[in-house]
Formats: sequence, structure tokens, C-alpha cells
Amino acid sequence: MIGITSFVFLRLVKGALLRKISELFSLRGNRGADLLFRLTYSTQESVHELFLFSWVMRLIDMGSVFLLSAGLLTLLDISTGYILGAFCFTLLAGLLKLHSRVQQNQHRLIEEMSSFVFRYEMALLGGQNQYLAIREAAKSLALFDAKEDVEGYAQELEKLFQASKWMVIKKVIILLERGKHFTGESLSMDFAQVSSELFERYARAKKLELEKRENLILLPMSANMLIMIIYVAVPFLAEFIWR
Amino acid sequence: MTSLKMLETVTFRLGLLLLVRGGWWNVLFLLEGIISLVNVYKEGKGSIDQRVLLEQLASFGNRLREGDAPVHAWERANVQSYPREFIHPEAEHFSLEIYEKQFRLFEKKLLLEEELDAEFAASRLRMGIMKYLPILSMLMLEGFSGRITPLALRIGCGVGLLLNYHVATRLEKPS
Repeated sequence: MIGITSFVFLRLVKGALLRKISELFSLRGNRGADLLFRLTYSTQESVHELFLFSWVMRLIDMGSVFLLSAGLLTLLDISTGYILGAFCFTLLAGLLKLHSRVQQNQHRLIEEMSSFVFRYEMALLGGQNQYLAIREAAKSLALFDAKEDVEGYAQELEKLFQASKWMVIKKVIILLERGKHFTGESLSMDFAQVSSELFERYARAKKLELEKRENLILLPMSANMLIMIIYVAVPFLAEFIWR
Repeated sequence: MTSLKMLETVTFRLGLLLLVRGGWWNVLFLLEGIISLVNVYKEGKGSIDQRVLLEQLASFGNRLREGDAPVHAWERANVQSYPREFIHPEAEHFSLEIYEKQFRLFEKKLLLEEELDAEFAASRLRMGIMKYLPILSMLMLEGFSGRITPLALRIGCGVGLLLNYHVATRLEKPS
């Protein structure tokens, strides 16, 4: 009964809960922006808010389903332990999904930034002026639209730096600033440095991913061992129990 | 690589069939095996060999170095899958210098991927052994002891092994 009552209560307060979250979101200032950026791969607050809403809605829906199921199972005189198990499993799956999303976005940022720096350098070497070179390079970044001047791009990159807290982006901003006064050729050392840092980061991310895969592969291996043990032990246990 | 994968798929399914020996269940396992085999074949057919691509890009670079115009060299090179991050030869500011830089970057990435692949080979071998070891030991045990395991247990273990096989295959693939 408690489960069903809680379910009805949760459905009723859903709207108020979302309104409260909206209020808290506007009050939060810059807190949590880096985490939200990693989850959404966007520097826009509206996207962050939408993401937060969709996940809170999912959580409420999930909670409602579990409360209702728990209530129904109690009415049918079945143990609620199954629901608790399913709840833990779903929670774990949700956390894993968020983790993999963060990792995917990190990879995407590294790849897009490498492409951005490379294209910017190449366009400058090709003789294009700074604004056209940045506009051309920014096509490889899905983070912001075309801007009217170099300053606009620098501001967007500054926002990206605030969100990602990644020093390479600060170096790219400095590179844009220097680009106002120097030609592409005289900046080649700076470009080489930024590119090598980006490549190092790319290599490190790939190595981390490999380590993760190596660790994860232990799971099916252990499960196979468990199946083997079950196959050997069950007939003996069954005989022992039935006697 | 594709033929090795196909051989692995066939051997694993044969092992499963020997283990389960469960009438209609055999048909289900067989059907799943055929679908997997088709998928492996399709994946192998669709993938691009990075070494072939490197060779094609190198020959395109040679043509540029010999003095061919980028558009002309591009038409003659017949590159299968030009990397997305590269500046296209038909772009306005494309030049030999730009091409060489992006080619060097591509080479570096390819070398890194090869290095990582070699590091992962040990784990892949371990997993390969662990895919077959349970089936083999179960069959050996049954053969030596002479006792027939209940069908439900054989089917349960078969399904479990198959699920693990798919999880491991998914983990083995680079993202």
C-alpha cells in the first residue's frame, strides 16, 4: 500500500519538483558547468538545463515504476527483493551509461580540437586571412556556430575553456591572439607545440580506453569460469539434495 | 582477419551444438550462428584496410611531388576512403606542404593504433582461450565420466556461454 501511495504522491509532485530544479538551476551560477559540459558536450546553459530535466524525468519515471511494482508485488504477496535487485541493476546501468557518455565526449573534444588546430594552421599556411582561417577550421567543431569576427571565436573558446578546464584550449586562445599580429609561418613553433600536446592527449586517451577494455574483458572470462563450475557442480549437488 | 573471425564463429557454434544436443534448441543455435556469420562477413567486407589506404595516400603524395596538379593527381590516385580530417585536394588552399603534414599525422595515428593493437593482442589471446576452454572441458568431463547432464542445464550453460561470447566480441572491437 505504501508503494502505491508513494507512486501516486511522486506523480503528483512531479511538476513542482521540476519547477524547483529550474529555480535551483538559475541560482547555481557557474557551479557544475564542467560536469554538465562533459555530459552534454555543449557550452550552452539551455542545453544543460534540458539535459538535467530529461534525466530527472527519467529518474522520477523509474522511481514511479519501481514504487508501483513494489506495491503490486506486496499485494500479490511476492518478495519485494526482486524489485530492489532490478532497481540496483538499472541504477548501475544508468551510471555506466553516463560514464561512457563522458568518455565519448572527451574523445570527441580531443579529436575535434586536433582537427580545428590543424585546419586553422593549414588555412593560415594556405595564405588565408585569420578570420577566414578560423571560420574554415571551426566547421570541424560542433560546439559553436559561425561568428562575425575573431573576437567572437575567442569568446566561444574562452567559454569552452571555462567548461572543460583544459589548458590546451587556453593555448589555442593565445594562438588566436598572436595570430592577430603574426603570420602563420612565424607561429609554426606554437602550432607544433599545441599539436604535439593534442596528440599526446589523444594517445593517452586511447591507452586508457585499451586498459579499460582489458579490465572489462575479465568479466566474460570470469562468467565463463562460473558457468563451467555450475555445469560440474549442479548434477552432484542435485543428487545430494534429492537424496 | 575476416576469414579467421568466420572460422572462430563456426568453431564456437559447433562446440555449442556438441554441448547442447537439444533437438529444437540446436536449430535456434544454428540460426543464431548463421546470422552471426553473415554479420561478420558484412563487417569484414565494409571495413577499410588502413595499410591499403596508407599506400594509396602515399602514391597520391608521390604524384603531387612529381608535379601533378592536385585535382589531376586526385583523379588518378583513386583513393578509396579519404580521411575525414584531411583537407580535400579540391579545396582552394590545398598544397603539397599541407598534404605532407596531414599525411605525417595520419602515419603517426596509424602507428599508435598498431602499437595499441599489439598490446591488446595478449588480452585477445586470453579471451580466445577462455571462449573455448569451458566448452572443451565440459565435453571432456562428460566423455570421461560417461554420465549425461540434464538437458536444461546444458541449454542454460549454452545460452550463458553464447551471451558471454557476444559480450567478449563487443569488448574486443575498438570503439
